[in-house]
Amino acid sequence: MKKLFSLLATALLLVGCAGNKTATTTETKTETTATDEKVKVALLLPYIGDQSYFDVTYNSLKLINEKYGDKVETKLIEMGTDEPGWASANIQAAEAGYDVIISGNFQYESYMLEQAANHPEITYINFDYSNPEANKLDNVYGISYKAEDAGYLAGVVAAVKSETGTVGAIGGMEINGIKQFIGGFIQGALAVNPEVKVLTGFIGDFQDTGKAKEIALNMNKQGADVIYHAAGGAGNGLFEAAAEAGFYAIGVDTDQYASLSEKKPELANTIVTSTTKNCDITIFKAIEQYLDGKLATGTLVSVGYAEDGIGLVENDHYKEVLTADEQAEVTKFAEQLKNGEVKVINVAEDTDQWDVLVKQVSK
Amino acid sequence: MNNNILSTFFSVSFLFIIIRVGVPLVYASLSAYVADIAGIPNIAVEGLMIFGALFGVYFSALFNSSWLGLLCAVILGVLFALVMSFFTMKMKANPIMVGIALNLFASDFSVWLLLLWTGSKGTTGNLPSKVLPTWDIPFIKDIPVIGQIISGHYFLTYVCVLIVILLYILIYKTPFGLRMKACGLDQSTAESVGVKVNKVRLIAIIISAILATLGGAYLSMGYLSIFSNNMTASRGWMGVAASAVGQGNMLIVLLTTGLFAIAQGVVNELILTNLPSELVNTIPYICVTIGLIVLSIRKYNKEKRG
Repeated sequence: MKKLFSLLATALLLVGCAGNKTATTTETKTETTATDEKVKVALLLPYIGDQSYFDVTYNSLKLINEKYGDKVETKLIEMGTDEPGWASANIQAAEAGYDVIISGNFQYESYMLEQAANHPEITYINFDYSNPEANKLDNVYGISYKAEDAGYLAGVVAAVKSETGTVGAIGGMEINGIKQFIGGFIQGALAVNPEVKVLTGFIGDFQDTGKAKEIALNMNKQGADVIYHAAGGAGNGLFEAAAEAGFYAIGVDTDQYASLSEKKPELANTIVTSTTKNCDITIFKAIEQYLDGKLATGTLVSVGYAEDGIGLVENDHYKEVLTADEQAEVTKFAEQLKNGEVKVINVAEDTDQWDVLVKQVSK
Repeated sequence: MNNNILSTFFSVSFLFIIIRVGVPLVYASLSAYVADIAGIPNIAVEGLMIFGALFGVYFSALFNSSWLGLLCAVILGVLFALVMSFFTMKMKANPIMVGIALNLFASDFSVWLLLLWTGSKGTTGNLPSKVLPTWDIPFIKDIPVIGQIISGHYFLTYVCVLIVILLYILIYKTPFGLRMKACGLDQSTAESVGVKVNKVRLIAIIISAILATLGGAYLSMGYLSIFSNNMTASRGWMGVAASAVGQGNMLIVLLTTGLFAIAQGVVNELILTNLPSELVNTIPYICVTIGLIVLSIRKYNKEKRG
């Protein structure tokens, strides 16, 4: 049964590949005759329409088209969600005559890097790299995001909004990538209120929404009235708890208020703001540099709030929930971060600092 | 700090929390248990729970009614169980293998459906789904302490209590319960005295599927108001484990499940202390292991004496 299925799947895949190949080749031909000088940029993503990470990344092409539509020709290639598809999509893209290929993310960067090594003439942009060693190729420009900045901003908002002086942060797993967020959160909260108490807790995975809710309710019982999460899908449990017990939550990665406001307003209304990972802006800037001939391929960069790689959502709901004074205070701290007056410690690199920070805010 | 934590464990609200956390585990355990005693192990509880959770949310949004959503979830859950029993009983496939297949299928197929229905692979946040009501029991809710503990739960919590009672009567007080246990103990003996083994097992697997889907629906239509990817988070497997610990005794199954629920409640509190979270998160599983060891020691001693 399984064998039959996998045979069928392979057959379908082959047919699909063959179909695609002819389609892309004809397309490139017409393109080359029509516009010779345009820089050709391809963005490879599994799919779009997730109202989150992929859609934000796809937005980069819109930004590029708006400003450089006359110089650049962009194309989105949806790779599908299966790994064989990622491999073949990368091979096809590399052979289709693009000048710049954008892809990345821990899940599929290996397929991209394989082609990058074989095609030194193409510039590759890894918009969210995870393995620094593997990305050290002369034609690859790798970008990562300062999660500690995101945490810092959330911590500032939480401490400004909190009336009890106790705030909370829920992590998915106790791993460095998540501690980076929460370490930043503690520092942000401390910057606003040196006497703040920060409760932290890790779910153990990124899926147990129910457990996230219980942890959030427990934090609330211990006094936390604004809680942040870096727990992926499980983080929705935080919003459920906030709606039930009546406290505020802060979302992560994308504007979580916007994604829930239409159909689940009771959950969305608890979300004061969200910290965002602006993959669209960083890609846009990289392309801008490429057009100027200044893109430093062969290097890896880490972007934070100062470089617009990390953002804080200031939508209407945020302006409703926070008073003008509170907003001004948040802006004050955010400006300091932007100017480089504050340096947020990255606990993923400086691992000893984690215990120091946690001890400092648990009384 | 430590005093704080100890006092929460002995507080009234902690008992309320234990019930809230424990109900999906009870559904899962009983689902596995009913199938177990009829001799057709159902390890697909986890997968059926995922389907129950997803279908409940989707159909409640589609029909704009939580009750119709719940009904559809249960019907579809039973359909999956019928497919499963077709393979195990008609085609004589190994029930464990079929169970594994259904679990793997459920965890990925649910994501695909999620993508199809919502355009998101994470949650059903953009579906206007409905939740089942919460019940404040009149009179009882005004009694101090007891009212605080047993009133104000989700609808499916009270259904769960009713099911526990009905199931106990069915299994221990009716001829059908006896037949179920006979099928589980020895198929050929049961057949030789005229028990229609396949029919009994089919009914058992249908009851099992209904329980599992109700457990899933509890998670997404009351406890929480949305479905999120793999939100059951191994609760079905804990049910399978509790059923294994019980070895056919419903009271032990329920006690074990209660122990898991308490362990889970304790974990949720301890996570906020600065104890290493990896260690704290293992507490329920350590409980399972200890439970199994204690039971096998008892069994071993009994056999030695006998």
